[in-house]
Amino acid sequence: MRLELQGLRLAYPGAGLATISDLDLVAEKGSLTALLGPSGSGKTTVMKLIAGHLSPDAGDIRLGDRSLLGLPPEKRRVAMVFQDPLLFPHLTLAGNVGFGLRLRGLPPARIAADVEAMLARVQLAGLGDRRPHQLSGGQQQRAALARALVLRPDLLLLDEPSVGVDPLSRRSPALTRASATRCAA
Amino acid sequence: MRAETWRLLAGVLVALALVLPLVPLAIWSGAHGWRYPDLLPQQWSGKAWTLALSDRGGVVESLGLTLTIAIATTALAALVGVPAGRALGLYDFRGKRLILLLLLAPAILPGIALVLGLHDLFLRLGLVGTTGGVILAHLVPVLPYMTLVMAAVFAGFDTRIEAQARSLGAGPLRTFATVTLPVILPGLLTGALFAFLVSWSQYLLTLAIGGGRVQTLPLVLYSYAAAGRNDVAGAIALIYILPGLAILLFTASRVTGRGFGAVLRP
Ligand SMILES: Nc1ncnc2c1ncn2[C@@H]1O[C@H](COP(=O)(O)OP(=O)(O)OP(=O)(O)O)[C@@H](O)[C@H]1O
Ligand SMILES: [Mg+2]
Repeated sequence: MRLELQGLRLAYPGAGLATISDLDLVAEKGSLTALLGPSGSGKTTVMKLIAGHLSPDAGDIRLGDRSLLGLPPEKRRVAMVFQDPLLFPHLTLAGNVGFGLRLRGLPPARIAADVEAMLARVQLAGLGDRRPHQLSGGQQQRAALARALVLRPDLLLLDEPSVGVDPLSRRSPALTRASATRCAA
Repeated sequence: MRAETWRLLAGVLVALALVLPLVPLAIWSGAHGWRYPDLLPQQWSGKAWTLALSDRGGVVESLGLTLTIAIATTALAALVGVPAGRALGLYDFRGKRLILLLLLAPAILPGIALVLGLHDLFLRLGLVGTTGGVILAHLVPVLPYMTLVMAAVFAGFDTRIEAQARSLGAGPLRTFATVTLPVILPGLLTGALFAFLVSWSQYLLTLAIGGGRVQTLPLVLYSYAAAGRNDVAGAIALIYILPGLAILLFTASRVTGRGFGAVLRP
């Protein structure tokens, strides 16, 4: 779906200058957009605004034909993969990847099948019973990616998608075949 | 000596330190009179246990009351301590140091001063002599403890994991129940176990605020001891230490990461 940022503005409380000021951006449906900028320039901040973890001081965020402003993160159909994997430590790999599917109330057999297929896509097949701490850094990052991808979100936000992902798996089908609009930093 | 032997020796010593004080209690509870120079009672009897476990003794009723008060105190402490600890552990705000200092006050102030102040206040509020009043009074030493434990837990908590759950479709309540709670559970459990024990072992507060009408186990125990019924007091004391012992074994098994049985075998 088409993503449009209009005159987006955000100043962190206490910080003097606005971190984001008058940002306009359009990402067409099915496209891949990369946000480039030096460390501390505000890439993560923009994604948190789009995902709904921060509210802008001014401007609008539109996805498809609706404004996302005022919607809580869980109602935006925007999946964000953070800079760190942030896997849920009390769940197995399969439990992590199936997290969002369970919230949608899908039948367990269907969830298991989707999780299984997604794990294979990110080259984690057979590791479903592992706990997050039993995975390598890159495996954890791919698990976080799988957990978001499996939901087929309207928009997929990837913060630093190449951190911890080795060159081989960066070329994996999972990253190039998703149909959603993707923003990567 | 090999490390194995040392460990065995340490285990035996700890077990002895735990069990030794219980021996006289156990003997008393089964004695039919036990006079000073005798190493063991001349006669044995089950009448202390019969009385302790009968309706007439008031012990069973008191056990239920003590449990109710300890569980209610723990639950209330968790209800307040989790959000309060979260605020203290995650955020910096003006007056935070003052609040931390105040939280330590019940631990620093002499207990008797605390009891007198509370009694006066609760008398005005009409809470003296009620179970609810006793629960509220127990919260005074318990709540700071719970809050400080939870503050430490949340100081190491990454709130982005909650943001991640929200982004995957979980509302605020779901996020708390399926992500936050499981992650803080070990810390919460530790806080709750100690909160339970602190309430369970209150004597002075219960006596003052309960006004003699809220008869928890330590009060019943004391009244039997004061009446010279060392045999019944011994039986009650053995019942009274059970939760502490159970919690100790449970904690030990969690700390060492082994089962109950493994802890019992040094
Ligand atoms: N919670 C916050 N409060 C105040 N300032 C913040 C906060 N989070 C980030 N900032 C500041 O906002 C600016 C942008 O941060 P952001 O995390 O968006 O940068 P980034 O482009 O993602 O950097 P990196 O490439 O290092 O991840 C930085 O200068 C940072 O110090
Ligand atoms: Mg960043």
